[in-house]
Amino acid sequence: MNIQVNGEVKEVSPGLTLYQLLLDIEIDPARPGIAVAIDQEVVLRTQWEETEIQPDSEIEVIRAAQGG
Amino acid sequence: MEGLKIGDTVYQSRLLIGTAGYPNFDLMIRSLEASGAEIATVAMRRVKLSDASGENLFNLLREKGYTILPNTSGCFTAKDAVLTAQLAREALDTSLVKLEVIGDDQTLFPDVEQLLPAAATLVKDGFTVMPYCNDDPITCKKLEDIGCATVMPLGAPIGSGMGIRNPYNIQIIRDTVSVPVIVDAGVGTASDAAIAMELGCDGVLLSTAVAKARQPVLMATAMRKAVEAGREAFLAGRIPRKLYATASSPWEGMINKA
Repeated sequence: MNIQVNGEVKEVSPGLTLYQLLLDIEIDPARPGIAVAIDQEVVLRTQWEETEIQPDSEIEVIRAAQGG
Repeated sequence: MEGLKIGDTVYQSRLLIGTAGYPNFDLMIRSLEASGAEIATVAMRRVKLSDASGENLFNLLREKGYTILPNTSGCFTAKDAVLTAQLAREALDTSLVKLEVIGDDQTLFPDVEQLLPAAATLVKDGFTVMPYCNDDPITCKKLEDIGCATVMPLGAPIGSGMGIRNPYNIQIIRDTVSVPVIVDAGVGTASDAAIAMELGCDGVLLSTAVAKARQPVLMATAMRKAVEAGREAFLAGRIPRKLYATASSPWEGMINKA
């Protein structure tokens, strides 16, 4: 199935958890200072391991960047 | 000197500083340190995929002891700004947010129609909301009534370096609201920051003026002094302006004139 991660289309297996997805795209889930939204809803870090990715999900993984 | 209270926290510095526009983290940190600021703003952006550089602004600022103030820069709607603030809270473990909802990308002026409901939603959701807003006393009063922790009127457009374009409005805002007034945006040089403070503002938030100065660390030092000087001048109370001279030396005891 296809999903979007930070604007890029990715093909992933059904049943993949958010935690596993992060590992697959080489983002360390333990990295401090990141957060995830799926379809415009924040998914708390404590729920990453139990959240299954649905087809066509739009996932945003964000961090702090230099800003004013 | 007495501190700046935002939410439940008292800060000794009245200068808040951005982290944008520096060519590297080393110059950024040296500038931040020279400014004496305790609060540093950051933007929330996508993690770069397949970027294993390990560059982590959050860790760096946290190690240096800064209070991190995430902004919602780049958001044009209340909905996007609220989601960005919620992501920032989750990522950075803070309820502080510099709420920006802009109307267009040329002026970067706030869109008040979107800003007010975004502020209301975030206040209800437990955020300490610091809204970037127009230098408009009516909007500022509404933001205070909603429950914002501060109001942050612009001095001039973001990054313009035009200074405090409407000091009279800033002064009216100061008289209108009881939450801290922090001038956010428009400061170009030290005298601009001093003017904001002399008007009675509680703080100044700036970024480009330091980051893009020829010598950022030196400008950061100048800004620290300007904010302190402006605050002290405000507390001391300036003399009224008059059209004609008043001699400061006494007339009495003058020698006989020819």
